[in-house]
Amino acid sequence: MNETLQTRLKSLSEAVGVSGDESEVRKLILEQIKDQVSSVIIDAMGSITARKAGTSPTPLRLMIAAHMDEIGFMITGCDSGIAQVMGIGDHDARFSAAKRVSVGSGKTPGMLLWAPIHKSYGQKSLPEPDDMTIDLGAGSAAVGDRAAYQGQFAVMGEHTLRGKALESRAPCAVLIDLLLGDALPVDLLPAFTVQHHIGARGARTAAYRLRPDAAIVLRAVECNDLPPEGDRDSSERAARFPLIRLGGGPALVASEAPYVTHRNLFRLTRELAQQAGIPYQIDALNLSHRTEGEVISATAAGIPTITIGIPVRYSSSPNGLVDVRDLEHTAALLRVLGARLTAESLQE
Amino acid sequence: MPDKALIRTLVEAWGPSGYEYQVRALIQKEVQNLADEIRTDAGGNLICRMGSGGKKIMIAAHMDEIGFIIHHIDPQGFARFSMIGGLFSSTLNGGRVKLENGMIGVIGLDGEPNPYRTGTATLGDFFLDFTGAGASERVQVGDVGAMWRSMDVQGSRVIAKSLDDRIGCVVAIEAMRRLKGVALSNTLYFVFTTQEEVGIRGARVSAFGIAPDMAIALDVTPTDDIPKARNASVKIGKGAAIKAMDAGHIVPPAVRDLMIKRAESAGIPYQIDVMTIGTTDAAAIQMTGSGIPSGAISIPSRYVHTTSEMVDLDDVEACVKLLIEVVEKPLEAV
Repeated sequence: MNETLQTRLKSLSEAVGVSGDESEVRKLILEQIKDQVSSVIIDAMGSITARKAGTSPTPLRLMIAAHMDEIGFMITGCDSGIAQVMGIGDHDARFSAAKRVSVGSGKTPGMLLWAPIHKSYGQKSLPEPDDMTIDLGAGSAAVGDRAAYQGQFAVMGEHTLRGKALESRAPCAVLIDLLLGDALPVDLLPAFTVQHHIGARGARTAAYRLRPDAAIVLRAVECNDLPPEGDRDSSERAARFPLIRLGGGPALVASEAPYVTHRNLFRLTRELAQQAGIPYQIDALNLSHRTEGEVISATAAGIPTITIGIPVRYSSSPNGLVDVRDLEHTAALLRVLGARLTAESLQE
Repeated sequence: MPDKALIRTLVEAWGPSGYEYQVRALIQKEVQNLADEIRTDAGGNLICRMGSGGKKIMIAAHMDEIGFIIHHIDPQGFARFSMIGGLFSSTLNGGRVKLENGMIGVIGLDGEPNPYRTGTATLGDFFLDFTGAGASERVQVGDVGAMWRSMDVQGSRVIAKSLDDRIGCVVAIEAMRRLKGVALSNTLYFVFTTQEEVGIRGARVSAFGIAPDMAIALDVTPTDDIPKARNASVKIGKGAAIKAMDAGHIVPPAVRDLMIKRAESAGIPYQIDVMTIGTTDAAAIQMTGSGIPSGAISIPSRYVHTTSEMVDLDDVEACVKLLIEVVEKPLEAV
């Protein structure tokens, strides 16, 4: 197990950064990258942009985006230790019931209220995120406080890590890894963005500021390698979605409807992965929400953009799983790409 | 009258959203000697300038068509796909899809033959059949496909795939041909845009780069003249459709009225287009930068997003004439 990545991911995962208040995560990241980059700017939204100068005399400017925020709740009222909330980001209510949360800057412990089956008086359906309630015991919360899931970071077996918010912090950890490594021919322009979960808002302003020659979005892609989906060719459900395996390598996202990744940059990335012997998978997503790739590619007069996904099981739950080798392979692929990117590959 | 050979060349070309380069090359060849300056921007849009001085007018027609992206293929050669743009399950069964390398896949439905399933089927119930064609070597996950069917002409009607929006491209090219050598009052940017079908994306970035004073989108609009039709305002064969509104765009009255005035003074048949579903490049252009007055000239079309879209050549001609009337003379304040 890569101890450095493991330690970094643990601290990032345990930090709290619900959309709109990513300051704790931002501070952690800044501490780690500040000696490696110049032109550090925290923009009005709260995203970090910076530059790690390239070794080429005329370097291409390559933006790499990873979002810092996680889903959570906002307190809308609190009385006698029971807080009403609204959801921030997309919640899967099946994950939420009876989970631990921490509320506000004081990290007051709480529980998402869920009546046990013998006391639920026939209520069987799960509440919507906006109808959920937090039980604070004797504690209290202020209207406007954010609540985040509490995870418990753990190493599972040889390669797997478990924790909360891995869908944002695993990409952050890879991007930090890249910045701590040797300079590449390209100018690396990291963007640690805010408010992804409420409409890819930070990516928009970060891309506008940087106006790079090209952009790579690092994100999580949900694995579907568990039964029955994992049993593809014999299963009735075969191939409704691309198969993404934990440990199968970075997922090159061909399309993330409605956004289609840049044709030539996508192909270059696939070729480089093949040449370098880096395992990879291909994903094609049909999403209803706005993504960072969509927003960045349509910024200003257009930016050639591709999306690379790190496979995560149970993403946006308090217990996501990643395979540390996927993080290493993603970092390796980004290094190869940073070394081999040409202006030609960015043409249409 | 519009050039039928040009229409055939463009509608039969291959170019799903994000993969418009073959269409762009064909158009570039057509306009090479018509424009004063041609460039392709980072979004893949082909930008052709004619004239200088006066107001900057952007004319947008999109090159892309709806399509398919393969996300799984089994050892026999049956592939599953996600959609690029608006694919409707009722239009798919038995259709053909062409890949970038020319491979043809037949669209099949799980469990056929069963005449009752098509109506309730969702996209996940369909597959592409590449069996018996060396699929393992020639088809891979991530490959992109477009609907395939050749064009037919019947009387004044053209029936073809991808008239949405290659017919808009034809209107633009035809206008460029007729404006060549004419002393222009405005600087015209004919922009052949990308990725309209996946969220009017190319128009947005090209408009940012050009920063025009006014913009006109050329695109198809559905008609209400088929049995039991609802929710549309125009009829095929009744002239150029001047957009008043669609689901994403309210045309500023000054722009709409300018078009009506020019149509009336030139005796060009026109109708007013209110489209209740969908929008055009003009919606994105309107909100670019600090706002750009934008309108649209719509080509009435039946059976949009199928392999048998239908337009009338007289309508196409009216659209070309109206476009020229609007852009060649000085603009009143808009």
